Amino acid sequence: MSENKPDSQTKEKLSIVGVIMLIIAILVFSGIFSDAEGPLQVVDFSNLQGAFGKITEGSNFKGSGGTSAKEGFLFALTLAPTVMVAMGLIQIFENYGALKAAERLLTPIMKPILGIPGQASLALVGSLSSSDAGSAMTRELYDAGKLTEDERDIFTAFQYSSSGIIVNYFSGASPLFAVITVGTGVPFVYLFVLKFVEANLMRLIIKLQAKKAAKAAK
Amino acid sequence: MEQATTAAKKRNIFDSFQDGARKGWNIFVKNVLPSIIMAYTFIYILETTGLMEVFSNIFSPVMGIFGLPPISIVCLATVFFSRAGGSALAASFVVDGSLTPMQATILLPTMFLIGGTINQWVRVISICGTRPDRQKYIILMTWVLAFLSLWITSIIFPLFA
Repeated sequence: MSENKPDSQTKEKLSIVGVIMLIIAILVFSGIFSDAEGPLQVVDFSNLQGAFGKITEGSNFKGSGGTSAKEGFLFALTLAPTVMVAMGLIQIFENYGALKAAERLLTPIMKPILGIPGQASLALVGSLSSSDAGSAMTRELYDAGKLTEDERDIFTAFQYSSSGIIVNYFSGASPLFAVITVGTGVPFVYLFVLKFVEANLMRLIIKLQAKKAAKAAK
Repeated sequence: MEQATTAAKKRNIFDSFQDGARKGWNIFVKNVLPSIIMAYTFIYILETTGLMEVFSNIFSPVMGIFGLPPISIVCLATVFFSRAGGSALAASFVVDGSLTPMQATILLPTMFLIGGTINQWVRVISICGTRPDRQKYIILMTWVLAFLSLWITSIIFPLFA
């Protein structure tokens, strides 16, 4: 798979549907339209999840005063629709080429912003939804000689931070979605940016290591 | 791969949504639900035995540096075992008033970053085959960034509130 893919991928045209899907995905999770009036409010993740009805004044089926495992069970149940809607939407975006578009857009800027060849963009996008897919593809690229040792280690730093962010964020952080004061996508983007910070710190460390080694050689 | 893409194309929007929702249900049942039950039971034990009080007192100066109540250390400790569990506790602390919604928002990225420490070492670092002398830097960077995040996000997030 990794043998032919990177070469054919550079010729691939950027699909318009994919770009539109990517933009919709960003809008849906950004929270921009959470307070919108009229039809636009459907372009928001928290509105799409809807709300539970109230059984008594001020509390939903979870009630109040529960403790320990039973309370945890009912609380967890309130999250099932959140995770299911998130994954359902992400699946649509993915099937209609949003990730492919992201991959295509990333290819030319990989070298300047990460110091990794554009060929690795497939692995990068893969690592966003599955840490295992990302690390397995990275290993393949290295074994095929398409990444140097330094590039591989920079790439590992990128993947390690908030690994598998799409799936892990929408499951692991889901309990907080109802209480946070910013759009669902805001902490996500922040964590995503940190991945680039971390990769570039690794670049710096590798440079310093090389300098040190050169000094020692003298 | 080629076949996989055509197969995916055949799925229309409605099928895709259901495929994803099914995946979401499995993640919910297999990961989210058990870890939240674990976290709630764990916290019940800590609260009832008074260990929570002890724990919070020990860490109150540390969390104070970041302008957070001592109880937030419990979320940061739980997240080691499970992200969903730690997040669930933070959410429950907001409900009972121990944390403000903004404090929970500030904690989120930090919990997420340190929550993957062990799991991702196995799944990312060892599979990628990172040079052994560089592995410690990756973990160290993540932790430093995780704690710096408490300050950074307390400045950034209010802008988006």
